[in-house]
Amino acid sequence: MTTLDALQVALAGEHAALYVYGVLGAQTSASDTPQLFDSVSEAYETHRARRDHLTGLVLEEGGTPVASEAAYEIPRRLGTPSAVAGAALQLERRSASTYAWLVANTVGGQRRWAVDALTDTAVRELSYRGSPEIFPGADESTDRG
Amino acid sequence: MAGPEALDRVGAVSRRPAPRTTRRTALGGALAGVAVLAGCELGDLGSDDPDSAPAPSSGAEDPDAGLVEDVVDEVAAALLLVETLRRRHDSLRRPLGGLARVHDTHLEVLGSSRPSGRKPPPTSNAGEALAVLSARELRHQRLLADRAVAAQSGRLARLLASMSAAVAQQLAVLAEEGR
Repeated sequence: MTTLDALQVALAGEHAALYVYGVLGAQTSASDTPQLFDSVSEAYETHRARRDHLTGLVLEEGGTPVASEAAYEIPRRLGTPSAVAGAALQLERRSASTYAWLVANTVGGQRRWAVDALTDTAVRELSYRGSPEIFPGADESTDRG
Repeated sequence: MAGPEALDRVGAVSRRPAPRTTRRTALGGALAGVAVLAGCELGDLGSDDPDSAPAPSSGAEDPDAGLVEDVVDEVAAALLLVETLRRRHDSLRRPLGGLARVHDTHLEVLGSSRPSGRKPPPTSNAGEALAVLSARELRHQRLLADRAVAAQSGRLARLLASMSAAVAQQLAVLAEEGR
C-alpha cells in the first residue's frame, strides 16, 4: 500500500460521504429540526473540503484522483430525525475508521492532516448522539464490541 | 465507503486484553501492549508494509521506544490528576468518570496500570479544578496528536491518534455538560 493508494481510498470514502450527506440534508428541515439541519449542513461542508484537499494531495503525489461513483447505496427508512442522525453517526464512524487507517499509511504533514480529520470526525459523532469511545476509529480493542 | 474494507488491509487486531504490568516494566510492557493491540510482533511495529525492510533483530532498539515511554508517563499523570480531582470533589466524580475510564484503558493498552506523577496542587473549588483539568487535558490531547505524527510505526501512530481523538471527545462532553 503506497501513500497514493491510501489517499485514493480516503478520497473514495469522501465521495461516498458527500453523496450520502446530500441525501441526509434533503431529509432534514431548518425549521423543524434546526440543530440536526445545522449539523448535517456543517458536516457536508467539512466533507466537501476534505474531498477537495484529498484531491489536491493525490495530484501532488502524481496520481489521477479517483472519480465519484454515479450513485451510492443509501440507508433505508430515513423518514425521521432519529433515523437521519443514526445514518450520519454511522457515516462518521466509518469516516473515523478511514482516517485512523490513513494516519497509519501516511507521514509528516499528510499524517498530521489525517490526525486532525480523525479528531474532528470523532467529536462530530457526538452531535448525532454518539457515545464517547475509548478508541475512536480503532475500536478493535475495547468498545463497540 | 472504502474505509473499513481498507482498514482490514492494515492487519487484523486482537481483542485480547493487554497484560497488566508494573511501572517498572513500563517500557517493555508498553511495547508489548501495543504489539498485542496491533496483533503483531514487536519487530513489525516499524512498518505497515510486509514487503518493506526486514524487522530489526531481537535486541535491536525500537525507534519508538522512547516515544512510547513518554506517552505512558503522560497518560499516567493525566489519570492521576483525574482520579485525584474525583476524590477531592464529589460533584466531579460522575462527570469525570468517562475521562478516568479512557485514561485507564489507554494506560492498560500501553502495558502499564498505575497512575503516577506529582500530586496535583490543591484547588479551591470544583469549578476551578475543572478549568485546570480541561486545560491539562487539552495539552494532553495535542501531545498525543504530536506523538502520533512523530511515531515511526504507522500502527502506533494510528493508536496514538485514536487516543487523542478519545480525549477530544471527552473534552467535548465536559464542555457540553458545563453549559
